[in-house]
Amino acid sequence: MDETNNGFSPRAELWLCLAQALLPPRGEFLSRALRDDLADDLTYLADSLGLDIGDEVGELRAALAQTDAEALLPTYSSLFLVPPIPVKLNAGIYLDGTLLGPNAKMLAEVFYRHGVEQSPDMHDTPDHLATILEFMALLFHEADGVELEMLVPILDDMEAVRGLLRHLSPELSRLARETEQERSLPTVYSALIGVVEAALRDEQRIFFAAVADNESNTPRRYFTKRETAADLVACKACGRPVATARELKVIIDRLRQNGLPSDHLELCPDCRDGIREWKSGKAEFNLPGFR
Amino acid sequence: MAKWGMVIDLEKCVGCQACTVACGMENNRLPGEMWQDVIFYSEGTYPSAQLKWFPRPCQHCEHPSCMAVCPTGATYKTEDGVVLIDWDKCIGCKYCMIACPYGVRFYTDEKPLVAPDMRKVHESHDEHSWNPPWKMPDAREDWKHGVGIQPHDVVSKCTFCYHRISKAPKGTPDLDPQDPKLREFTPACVVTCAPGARFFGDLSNPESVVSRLIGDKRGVRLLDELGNKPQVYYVTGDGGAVPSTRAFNKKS
Repeated sequence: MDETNNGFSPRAELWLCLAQALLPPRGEFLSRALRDDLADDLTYLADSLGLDIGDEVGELRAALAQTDAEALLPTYSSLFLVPPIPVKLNAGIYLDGTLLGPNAKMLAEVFYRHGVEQSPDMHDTPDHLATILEFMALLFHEADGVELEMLVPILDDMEAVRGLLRHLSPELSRLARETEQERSLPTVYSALIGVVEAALRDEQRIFFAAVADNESNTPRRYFTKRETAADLVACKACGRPVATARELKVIIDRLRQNGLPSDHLELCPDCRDGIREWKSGKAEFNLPGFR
Repeated sequence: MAKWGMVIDLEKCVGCQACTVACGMENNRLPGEMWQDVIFYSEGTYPSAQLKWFPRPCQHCEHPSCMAVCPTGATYKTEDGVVLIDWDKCIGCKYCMIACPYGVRFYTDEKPLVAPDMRKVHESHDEHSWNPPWKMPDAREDWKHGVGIQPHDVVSKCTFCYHRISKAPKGTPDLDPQDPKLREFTPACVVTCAPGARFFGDLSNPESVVSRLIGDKRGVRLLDELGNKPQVYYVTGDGGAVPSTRAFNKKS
């Protein structure tokens, strides 16, 4: 796989490699390359980049070892091609709820801005995961050889595409895993999307080290300080702690003294909107799913 | 003394969230930490389901739960009816966040709501919790009234843009952004609202536009049954909606 792209840096090569692996494995050459070379290529590239994706690549290697080269295309088809398609690889489906929605068109415009147009050989929309990954590779390649003043717009677009992929990959990974289990398919593609997810996460660690540590070490949003207390009262909806029993008693007493309601204290503040089915405008990035 | 309040006309609100963005810029909010959120929900079932929304700032209640439970007196109510937090007194215990039934209070030192975490990208090297490249002039920062970039380990919330409204001429019945003389004293969300769905004025003045709107168009308050008596009213008419017992009773 890497022989044809010697001009690319290892980082660009990694994303190109992942992009090609997410194309339909048509033909014996590509199927065999996937099965026999992909894991080694990824390991080599990850090592040269210092990426910590060994576990995910190991999982992929194990899944590939248990799969015949001939079984890859039927697996790919069953997951991504045959209607009703269980795992759609088109980002627009998850962003706009439809094919060729505004986000897919916006992506095509971003491609165009960098002088990239989709090949007629690619029989899919421009928001296909493989196309986006290949575009990432091209951006890394472009960034390697430009002057400083030209670098900023490339990095901006790179960050936007990385953000898009980071939001998209967990959903794709979940859907692929569920479908593979349901249909007793080899776990190659969920493992492959897992590698994409891990590489994105690890790059986040490289670019924003403090953020990545913060994300992995800090519990979600609300209530970070009392987690070690002995008498924590759990939220009736999510089970996360609301406060200690003693604190809640103080709060309830004060509310009652002032003639104010206290029933809502059964739930943590994060869950109260949820039970009313209220959704915040933009606080969370929710994938709407296919309409 | 004025009793400031807001009226949001849900027949005009288009849910564009310009108010959310304006508030974030005006008050140096962390991305994702929205003092002025817009809540979306659906009503009815297929094929008659409807997507609805309503903006939800701090309700600046007449009887605020947050103030009742604050152990240090950091949350207080001004003479002109605005509920504020004194960041010099706040100890970050979050009792107010637990007690507030509207979910409009935020604690900055938690997991970032969007990535990358701007507190790390624009790290502060002083007592502020972060150092955004866009911020209000230092002269406007006022920790006693919860205005500006907060220190670490405190709770924050909408102030009705107290740094603006507190400088309004005394006796003004309405802070109308269309009036050039009053525009700079009007809350940022009201100034920015493109369809003109927001009104801000003196609820104690029967001649103010807000009072007349509440009276003429039967304004309702969010979760009115709780008894906190918010000073943010919603005008629903026939088109818009806000989940409220009174709104429901009125239609049935």
